[in-house]
Amino acid sequence: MTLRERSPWLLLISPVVVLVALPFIASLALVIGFGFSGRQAIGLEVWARFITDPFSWKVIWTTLWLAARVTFFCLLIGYPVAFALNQLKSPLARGIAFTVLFTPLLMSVIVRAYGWIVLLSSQGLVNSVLGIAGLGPFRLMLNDFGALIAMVHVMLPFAVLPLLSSINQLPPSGIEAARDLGANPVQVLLRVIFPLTLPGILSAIEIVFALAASAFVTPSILGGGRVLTLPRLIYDNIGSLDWALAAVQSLTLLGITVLVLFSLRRLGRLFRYEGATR
Amino acid sequence: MKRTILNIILGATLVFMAAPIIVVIINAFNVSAYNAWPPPGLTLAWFQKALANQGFITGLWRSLAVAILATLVIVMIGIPAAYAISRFRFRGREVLRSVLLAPLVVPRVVLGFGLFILFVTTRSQLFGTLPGIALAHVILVVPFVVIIFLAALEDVDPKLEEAARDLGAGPVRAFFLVTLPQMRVALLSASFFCFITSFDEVETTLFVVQPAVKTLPVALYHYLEFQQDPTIAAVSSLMIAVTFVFILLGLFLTNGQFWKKIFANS
Repeated sequence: MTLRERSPWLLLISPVVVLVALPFIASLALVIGFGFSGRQAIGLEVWARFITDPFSWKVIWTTLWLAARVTFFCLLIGYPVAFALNQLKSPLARGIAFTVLFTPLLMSVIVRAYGWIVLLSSQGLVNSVLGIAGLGPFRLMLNDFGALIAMVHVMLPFAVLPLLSSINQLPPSGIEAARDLGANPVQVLLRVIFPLTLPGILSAIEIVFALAASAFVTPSILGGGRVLTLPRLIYDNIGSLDWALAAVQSLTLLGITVLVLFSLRRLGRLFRYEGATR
Repeated sequence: MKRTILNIILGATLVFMAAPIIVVIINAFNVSAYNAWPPPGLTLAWFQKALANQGFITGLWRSLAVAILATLVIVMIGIPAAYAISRFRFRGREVLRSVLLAPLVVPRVVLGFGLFILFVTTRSQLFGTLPGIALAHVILVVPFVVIIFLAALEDVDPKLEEAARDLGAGPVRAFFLVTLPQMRVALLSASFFCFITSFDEVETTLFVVQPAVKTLPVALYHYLEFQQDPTIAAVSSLMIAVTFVFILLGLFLTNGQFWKKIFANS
């Protein structure tokens, strides 16, 4: 029996294993290897250097705090927007709304970052509009604010997607039942809609936070030198040939995103379990 | 009342989403080199400047070549892999599935750095070459593509394949005549998605390019670090046009299912 007859799957998967799985695993292994390289075979010297440097902690804090705020604003805007999309009935309006909302997702982050420069620069659109009202000019970019607003723009569609799919699954009967039993709109929102859409909220947090913590181009261009995040530092260290430090920072960043994903998944399972027993 | 408030929020959000894209296009005609708004006058000079910039022109051709290569490769390796995962039970099947979905979790910067070390330390001749860049993009889009293909294969009834086999078709022939045509929409959506993602990618690409071999987005990024004049706007407008054409083409060829295919499953 030839290989093709005995295990055809082997032929089918070998290209993807050779071209994707192996390089992917090898490159992660190399990052780990460089992160733990020292004078002996294995060393924690670079980790010690990284952890004892207060600058590292400042950068980690900047990264997490920025990602947390981006996530918060994406949810704050994304939740009502997902409801509004869900309520749109006319196919034309739906088509336009979806296209406007999701097309930027497929535009290069460079293009979008440049768009924000045009909007936020000292002579830009926002400042000139504010100027008519006799305000400003304000410094809106090359700082934390610029990075934040541009990142919310980049991440918002990712928040709307899971929210929309959980809102689409809401049973109208449940909401009607709550209303019939005398719940006011706030109660309906907090005690019926919110718990039922919680899985969507959790996956929105998961996606947006992971993407925001690992974003490089947007905070780098809009934040300038004032917003130093881990991805930015990794890039800079490779430029200055400090691969070991870049590897340690890469593993820290990877650790943060994996930890966030893992704990949100656990949280999601916990809530599902509670919901089932209640 | 409630609906009105929601619609106002939606409208404001749509303005917020569209604004940066629209101002880029208008700014491409702005006379002011410092992006002064409203534009004091209109000009086509930035387009001339962009088209005279060798870095952008060669970058454009490279980006197109990389995107085409990455798309061809992902289709040729992604479909058989998804087919094997969906139709065969073998040891390591779950592991393979997880590995193919794993690039979703890895930050693009980390993946770029890892591939950079891999390309350089193994002397694989891939560093800074078009196949190397395409390989990086293939790894980036593999999770999306596998998810799309797996979902499409779920929808194809294996009984139809069996019927074709019973009628005397070989496994390969049965796949091409029965299964593949039913995956048409998924195949198109995945291809367009891969093409657009590859064409626009910067964050991973930055790590695997050489100064002499830059793709268009990387050339733009390096330009933007030093200058922010509307030349960028002119090039960006062209990129927006390319992306938009592909989205429209995708919508048209998939009977409007493009967004659904790409995002509904992921």
